[in-house]
Amino acid sequence: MHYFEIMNKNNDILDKLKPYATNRPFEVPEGYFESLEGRIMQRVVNEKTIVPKSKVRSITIWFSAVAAVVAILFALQVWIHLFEPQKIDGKMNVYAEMQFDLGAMDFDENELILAVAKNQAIDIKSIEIDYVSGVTADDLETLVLF
Amino acid sequence: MAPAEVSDQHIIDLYKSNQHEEAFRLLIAKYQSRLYWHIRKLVISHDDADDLVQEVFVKIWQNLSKFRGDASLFTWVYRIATNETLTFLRKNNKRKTVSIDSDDLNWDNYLASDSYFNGSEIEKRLHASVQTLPEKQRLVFQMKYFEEMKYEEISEVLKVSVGSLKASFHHAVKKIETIFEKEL
Repeated sequence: MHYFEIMNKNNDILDKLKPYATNRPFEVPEGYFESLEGRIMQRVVNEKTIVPKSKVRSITIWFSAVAAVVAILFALQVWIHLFEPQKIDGKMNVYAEMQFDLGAMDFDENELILAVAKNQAIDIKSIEIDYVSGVTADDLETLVLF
Repeated sequence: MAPAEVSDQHIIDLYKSNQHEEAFRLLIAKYQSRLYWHIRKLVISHDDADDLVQEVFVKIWQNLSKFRGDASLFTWVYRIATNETLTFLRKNNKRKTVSIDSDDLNWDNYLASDSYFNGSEIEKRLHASVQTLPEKQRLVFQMKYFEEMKYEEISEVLKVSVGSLKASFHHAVKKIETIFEKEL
């Protein structure tokens, strides 16, 4: 059969079916189209109040990046603290010793000796005056500490 | 003015003058019925069509600012509706692939049990037979035969050449013919 004859034959069938090719058999709830606009607008409003997934993902990525940088900085600080402790401790000890020496120098030697002697229940009369006056700052420090 | 009489250009002009909501309301009023029926005949179920048509308009609202006017507004909204519907059908595997000639006429049974389908036997058979067509043929057949769109319009919506559309329509018609030639 020729192509155009087939097409005509098909069109005959389609023409006969055409009265049935309508929306008629499909039904919708009563008042459906009257309320559709309102429901669409409500859905649009709801969509506006919800942060889009893409934005949530973007915020999450940025938050992760910032958290990673903070974690690296923290780890770096811990690493410096762990592997260079002597240098830091050395500085701190020297400073502490200096502070102690300077503090000891501010004391009145006699007052310090009397206070220590009183604390240790030592009879101050048994100590020679020359010896007391010849006490150095190091001796005092030893006396106070031990 | 009746919604159908509002021109696309008027809707676009309103939107560009920052009257977004008013423009969108006019767009809904003009296209809601047409888009609904386009979707409904592809998915058959009213509930699915109702959900999809709302989803389509949300998409339209979200992307209206990006509409550049390369295609007509009608083509643009139709393309969104068609793409959303095809995505839905593929995702939900709603398409039945059984032959209309087989004993198990799923679409016939489905339509018979659908509370929102109230057609005659021949109407049921016509719509059931269309559901058995391959996706592209079904789309072309629906848009050409049921919606009476021109090939050029269908071509713009589906981004397929007119020649290819004519071939798909011809194949669709041949299949429908084999179903009905004994009955008519």
